[in-house]
Amino acid sequence: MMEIMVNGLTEEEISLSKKFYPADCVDRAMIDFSGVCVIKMNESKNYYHIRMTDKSVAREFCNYALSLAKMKRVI
Amino acid sequence: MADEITISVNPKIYTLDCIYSAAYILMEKAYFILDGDPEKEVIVKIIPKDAEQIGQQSGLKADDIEKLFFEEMLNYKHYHMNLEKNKEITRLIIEKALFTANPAIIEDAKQIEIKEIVEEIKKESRLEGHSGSEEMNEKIKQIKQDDKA
Repeated sequence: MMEIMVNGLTEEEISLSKKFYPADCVDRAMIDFSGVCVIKMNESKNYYHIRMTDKSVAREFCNYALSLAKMKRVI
Repeated sequence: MADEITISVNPKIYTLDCIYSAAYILMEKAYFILDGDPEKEVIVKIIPKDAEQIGQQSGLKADDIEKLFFEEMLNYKHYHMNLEKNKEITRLIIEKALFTANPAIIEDAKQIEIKEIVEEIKKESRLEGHSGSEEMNEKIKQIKQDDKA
């Protein structure tokens, strides 16, 4: 998790490992959070890099993606 | 903002299911970010939520959440071990409950089993090169008689 300055505004970038957060869970979380704050997503080999305008929303996003991943494993 | 802590978990001791479940239980108290290697070392970053966020006067410290997290993992480990131990018994109980609800299932299962045995005998006799079908017919008759008895 790190703060980035973009056009004078701070953005929060979170990096989620592809090994723990399946693609469909991250996609689902992105769709559900798309109305909450602006999201940009980049993808590297092992991580999803997600940028959000608010720090606490970014953290809530992590928890939401984790809960989706957990549910997917259980079911 | 509250302090944060990073812990390392051995996935050979605590399975990924335990880690996910423990994090899920404590989600209302802290934020969790998983990283590392699911086969060698799982790194869990714990960021406690502020007191306002959890609607209390004082929020928990990262150390306290770490302890709770390990407690929950142990709890789930125990649960999964028992689940695995009692898997066969649970399966038998469910099967019996289903058969009691609909006894016709037993008859169907029996018929399928007989068919399978007959097919197996036919295959075996073909492989062994028996030309006489009398022996085979006797075996089939015997199975059917046993079933009736």
